[in-house]
Amino acid sequence: MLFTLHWAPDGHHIQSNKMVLRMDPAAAVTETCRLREFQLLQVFRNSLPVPEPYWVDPKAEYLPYPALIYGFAEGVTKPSSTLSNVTGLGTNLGPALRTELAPSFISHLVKIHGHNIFDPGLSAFDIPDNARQAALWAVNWWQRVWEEDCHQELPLMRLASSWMRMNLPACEQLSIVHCDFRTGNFLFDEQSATITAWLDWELGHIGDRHEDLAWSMSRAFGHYAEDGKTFLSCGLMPEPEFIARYQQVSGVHINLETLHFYRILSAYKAIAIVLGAGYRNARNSKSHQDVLLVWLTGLASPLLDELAKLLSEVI
Amino acid sequence: MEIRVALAIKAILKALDEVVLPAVSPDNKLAQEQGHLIVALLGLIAQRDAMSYEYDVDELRRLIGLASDLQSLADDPVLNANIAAAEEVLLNARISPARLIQTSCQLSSVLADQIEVLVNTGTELACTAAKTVLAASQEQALRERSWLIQQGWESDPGQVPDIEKLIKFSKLAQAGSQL
Repeated sequence: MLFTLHWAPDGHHIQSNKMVLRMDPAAAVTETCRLREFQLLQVFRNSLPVPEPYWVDPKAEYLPYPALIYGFAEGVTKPSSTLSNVTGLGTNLGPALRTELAPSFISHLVKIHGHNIFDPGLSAFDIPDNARQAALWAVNWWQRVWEEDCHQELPLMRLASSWMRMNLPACEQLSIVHCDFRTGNFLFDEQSATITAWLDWELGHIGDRHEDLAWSMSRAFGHYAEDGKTFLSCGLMPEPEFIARYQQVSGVHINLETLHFYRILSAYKAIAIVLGAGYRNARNSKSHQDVLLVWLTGLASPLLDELAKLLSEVI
Repeated sequence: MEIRVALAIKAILKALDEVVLPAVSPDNKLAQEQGHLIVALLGLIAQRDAMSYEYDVDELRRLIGLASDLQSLADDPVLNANIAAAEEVLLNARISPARLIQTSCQLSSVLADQIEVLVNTGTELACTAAKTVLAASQEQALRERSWLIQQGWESDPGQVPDIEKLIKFSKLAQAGSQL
């Protein structure tokens, strides 16, 4: 919720600032931690474009639900002349913009992954303590969401969770993971073609960087280029180029088997969100946008197809 | 699993009531009136949708009853043939859509449990079971993608066949569609 705050930060001089209140709804498609979200904004405020964090009320002592307040960030999530599906899915930035934005997309992701996971500012974060725990925690999380929220069990989802548990990859280097790093979740200035703010940090945690890479590569967030043949991850660049540029900028080698595991997890997670939690919230009339959640359940169809194809490559 | 009518209408009504109609200018009388009619009509559909199939079955049963009563008075071959055809349709209409959906849900759940057991054996059998599930799942996903093609999720919609080609109709339904 956007509002204008008239206040005196120094106790004397009144100023007016546009602020954004992010407060937990009665039910959401993802259960998150406002404190972790706030801490991530704080640790990255000087190194990445993020909204300026001001206050957090993680236990709802002052507000009806856990919440945080940050400064309003200028920018758009898609070009003013283009259309996209809901929540920025399938946004086509166009050839000029995608060329300008792609380098920052990569470099910002590298910065997130390269940050010290032992930063004292990350007190709300758990750190996996063995090589496969990052993957195990991720599978546990999203399998629980699916099992608790799904309306109808799907054989494919059970196959996927069984396969993932039997094939957990070892994490070579723990990183901060944004967990929803994609087009649609950054604001940019159309004139200068620069990213002005990264949004939606609420799923951020310490885990395997391959999780972020895989999520960015989901078919749900990309589209074909003007040639009709080249699929662009997040509408920015082809997959091989995405991997190559990430490796070049980060100096970190991407393990393709681990990446594939997390691509399977990404599809599973997205299905759990739209067909599990989203469906449940809409069925129980729990949100202020049930009609959007119902619309989003349709996204499960191509996601299920993607999940089946990804599993077919390894089974 | 397509977007079910009951769920969609429930969400639509809530959006209309809480977001859309309050934003319509009170001075726009036509929009206000039609907005409220939309809500009322959707409410009616939502209330009756679950029973609409049983309603139609009941109507057919009553018509057959009436026809049978008249048959005793006028032994007409056209009437007789139509009564026979209608009775056959009624016989096949005993299972309700709700029961159909419930049965699919139940079977899906049992299948999921069985797949987990098989996959966890780690044997050759597990691999065969997994491949079987994957093949069936891709077929089902294609069907659902076709059903919802209008939503615009597909990067290449031309690759998705029309739903009519993907759903296996029963002979009876095919006969009905030709009338």
